[in-house]
Amino acid sequence: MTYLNKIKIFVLVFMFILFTSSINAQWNIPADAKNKKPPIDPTHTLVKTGKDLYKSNCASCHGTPGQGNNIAAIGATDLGTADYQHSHSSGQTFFQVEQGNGGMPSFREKFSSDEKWCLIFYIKSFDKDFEISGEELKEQKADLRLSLVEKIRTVKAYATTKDKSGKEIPLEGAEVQFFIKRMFGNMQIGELVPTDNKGMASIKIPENIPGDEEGKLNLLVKFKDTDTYGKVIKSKTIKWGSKLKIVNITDKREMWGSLHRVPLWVLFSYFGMTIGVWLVIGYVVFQIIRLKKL
Amino acid sequence: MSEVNKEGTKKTIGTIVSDLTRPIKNHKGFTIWILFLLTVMGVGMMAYVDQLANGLGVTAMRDYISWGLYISSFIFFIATALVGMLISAVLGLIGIKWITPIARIAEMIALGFAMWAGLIIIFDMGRPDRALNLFIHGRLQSPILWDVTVVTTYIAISVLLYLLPLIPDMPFLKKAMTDQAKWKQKIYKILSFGFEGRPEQYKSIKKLIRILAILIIPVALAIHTVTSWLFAMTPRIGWDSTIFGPYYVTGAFVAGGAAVMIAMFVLSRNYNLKDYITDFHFDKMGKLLVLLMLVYFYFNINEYIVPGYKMKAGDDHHILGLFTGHYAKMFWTVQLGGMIIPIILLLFRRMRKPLPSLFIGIAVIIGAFFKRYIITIPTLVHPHLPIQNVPEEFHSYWPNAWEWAITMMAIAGAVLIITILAKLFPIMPIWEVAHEEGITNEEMNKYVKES
Ligand code: HEC
Repeated sequence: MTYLNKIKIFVLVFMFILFTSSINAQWNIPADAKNKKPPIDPTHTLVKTGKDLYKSNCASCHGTPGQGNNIAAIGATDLGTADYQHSHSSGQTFFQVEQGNGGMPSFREKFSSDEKWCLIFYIKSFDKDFEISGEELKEQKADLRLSLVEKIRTVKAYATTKDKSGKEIPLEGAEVQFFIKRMFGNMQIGELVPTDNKGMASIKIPENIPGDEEGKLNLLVKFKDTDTYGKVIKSKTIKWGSKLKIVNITDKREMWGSLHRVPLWVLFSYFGMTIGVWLVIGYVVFQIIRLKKL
Repeated sequence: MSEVNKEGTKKTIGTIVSDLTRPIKNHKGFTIWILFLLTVMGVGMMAYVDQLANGLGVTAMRDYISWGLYISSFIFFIATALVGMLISAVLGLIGIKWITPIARIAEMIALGFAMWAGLIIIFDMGRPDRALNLFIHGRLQSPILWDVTVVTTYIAISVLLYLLPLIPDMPFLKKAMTDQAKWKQKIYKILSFGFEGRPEQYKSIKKLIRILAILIIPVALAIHTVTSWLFAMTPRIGWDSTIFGPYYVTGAFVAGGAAVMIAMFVLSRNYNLKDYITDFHFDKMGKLLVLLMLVYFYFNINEYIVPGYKMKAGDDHHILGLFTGHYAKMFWTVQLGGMIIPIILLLFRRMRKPLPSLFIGIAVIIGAFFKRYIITIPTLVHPHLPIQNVPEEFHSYWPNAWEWAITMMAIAGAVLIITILAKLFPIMPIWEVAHEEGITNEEMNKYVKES
């Protein structure tokens, strides 16, 4: 998260706290809520889903669990500490996420019950006694290869992975993101594209994206799920942008230009007037010299 | 009876010539005066040598206030020089007769001040050895280059406008100055350009004067308008004004008119020419100055009331600084003592007598000098971006001894030019004064020929 975002959230939260300070009471957790049990069993896949949700919805205040990068100032705790894990049951955390309190927003409406439980599973996964059933999610090292179809302005990304014997096989169902590199940050092109059974995801590059003087664009392609597939980023220069015409303002005849680019009307009026006046002066001098002969 | 000589009896060409050449021969007090001017200039020169050696850092100017006394004096000099155009061109062309005995005085002032105006710009340069770059790399889009051009042109025309009416005087001088040094006689001979009083020669000279008188009007307007554009073409508070051109031009006439008034007094008393520059001329000059100052007053009202009424952000600082703030004392002294009170005084006939005229002229010209200061410096103290993280001395400005000394050198230099001209040549055109007296060309020629 950028520093600026942190500040923004901080300010927002601060104001929020101010408004709600009157109702900012202690958590009041009913006993049956504390003992509430998840209707589903935690699996690695569900924990992974919870992690994704947490990253985009909770990390801004609570930070990465166990890392201590939470915004303590507003009262958002680090949810990964052993302290927290011991004092909060799954049911209690579920209740708190649903309910909210003071600076903590209520997520009752935002997530489905299952999603909320996924979040709890993720938070609880920092407790070393927490048992997760099912197969552990394997990191599946994958790779990307890009090919361009010039005629239809299409980029095809082929995702591959290795099977057990180490042979390269197409990777199906991995979500791929396409970006164009801009001056500040990257601009995503289109939506997420899942790879098909040939491991291929393709996207058409829209016209009129401003490129450099030759119309060159810098294309970046990566997997959305970097946890699973690794931080694979492939880049390619494509010539499908519109050509940038750099108009140097000092190239034109303008008031602010150099001497050699003086606007013509200035040039003519300057020399017209100066030469005109000095011709008259010259005439007068000439006449004075001729005075003798008169 | 002519206007030139309202009281006296009709003069002969002989008395006119001897009256007007007598002061040229009489050196009483002249040496002391020249020595005084040279001393002032010597002190200034020492300061300038130091400035050349050690750079502009010896002045009080710093990064923000980088136009100080030099530039404000430059405008003052240009302004004063403009009077030549007003008197000999504008008034001359519309046929006003009473200017005959003072037109050359105005032209002398124009020459002296215009020449030194050009030098002051050099004084303001930290590296005058690079002055030529102005012409090599100068941009036609910049008012600075136009200013340099137009100042040079104005000097050239002023020299010619001084020289031309002098030519018909040369035969008289040649005759009257036979007892003077050889080099002087040589100058008179060269500058006569073979003039011998032939009717065709008179006709040609009158025609040429007329041409130059017409030509100098747009050039003089250009010189001071462009000078004002050095300021008005920037978006800076206090300078960003559409009326700066006419504001400067009218202000210039006021300064020049006052200078002429002072010179009239000093020269007529010193040279004993009270018969030629009479109370009548002071009265006329006083009336002219009132008119000029009223027009200038009108521009002042516009220049200060319009932004003062609106008090736009930024303008408010500037205006309040002048009205009630840091510059209030100087501002009101200049506006009251250099403009409003002189206007009121000069409305009375008694105040247009020679002696009161002298004092009023001095007040107006001192006011004019500091008015330029008021226009130049306060704006620089308020840049659009705040002055930050700079030494304390960068925040304010008051010219130091070096700048005063160098400026005084310029003033003394201009006066020196006027003095030398007044010492070499008659301060009035003998032939035109004679014409005013009804003396014909033939009579004059006869006078020159008889020995
Ligand atoms: C706007 C900042 C913010 C966001 C976003 C946020 N929280 Fe909180 N959370 C807080 C604050 C502040 C508290 C402490 C409230 C209190 O103690 O009154 C808190 C408290 C909690 C608690 C109780 C902690 C304790 O010590 O009792 C849990 C659990 C929790 N949040 C989970 C989440 C989850 C899960 C998410 C994401 C879905 C989330 N929070 C999003 C600010 C936030």
